[in-house]
Amino acid sequence: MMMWVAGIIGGLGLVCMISRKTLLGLLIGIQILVLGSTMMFVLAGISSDFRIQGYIFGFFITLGGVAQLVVGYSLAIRLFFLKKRISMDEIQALKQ
Amino acid sequence: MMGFVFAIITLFAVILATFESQLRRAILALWVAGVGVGAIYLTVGAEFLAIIQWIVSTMVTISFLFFAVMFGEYNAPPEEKKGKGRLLVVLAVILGAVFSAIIGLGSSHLPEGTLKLVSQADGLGVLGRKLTRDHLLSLEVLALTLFLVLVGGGVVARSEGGES
Repeated sequence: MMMWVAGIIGGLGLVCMISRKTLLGLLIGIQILVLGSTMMFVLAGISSDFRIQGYIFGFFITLGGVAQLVVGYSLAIRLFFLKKRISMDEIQALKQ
Repeated sequence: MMGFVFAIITLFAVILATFESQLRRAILALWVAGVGVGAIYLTVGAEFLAIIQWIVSTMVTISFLFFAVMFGEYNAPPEEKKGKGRLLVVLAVILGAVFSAIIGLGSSHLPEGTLKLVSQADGLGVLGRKLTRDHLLSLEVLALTLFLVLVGGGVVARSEGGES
């Protein structure tokens, strides 16, 4: 049952990533996806009797999520500097 | 029992964070979701992760609020979804449902008794020793990644000419 909850959280993160129109919305979706995936590893560790390994994987995934969030923020700042807005339609401007 | 209560609260918050058109409410819902996931960790005995999750969720929410205000998104009018936008949302929901079903059906059931309190083997000291002895290289790579992200973020977010 709990694994279903983790899967639904991950799935909703995917929905949020696809449907949002702004870069901050996309980052919210990624955070939800990271929440779900962390939960999956922790619960999978418990169910397969590798509790500590599951916790350690969850720890690394959570901090990895923080790292990608920082990169997302810096890209958002750059995009805002170039276009004065952070819409996903303007993301191509970062290639310049 | 408490685990399921927390799971329901978390699911409700995640649904709100996903579909709420106002960014302000979505960010606050994300914080509730993070706190709820931390509470679920607490019920399965992962106290260390619960504390980490609460700290990270709170810091992420604060930074989201800060950036939303800075970019003028905090009080922006709700996004309107018409035609193609609605189709995209429906397709995204279908994709998300497939993803959830694969995870839910493909995973094994949790054994009985997982909701008991943490045992001696799951204590913070054991986890700390495990991290520093068996996963030291991973810890160093993570530290280096966070350091590079910090420096790289500053470089990417530089002004046009890069003088400052």
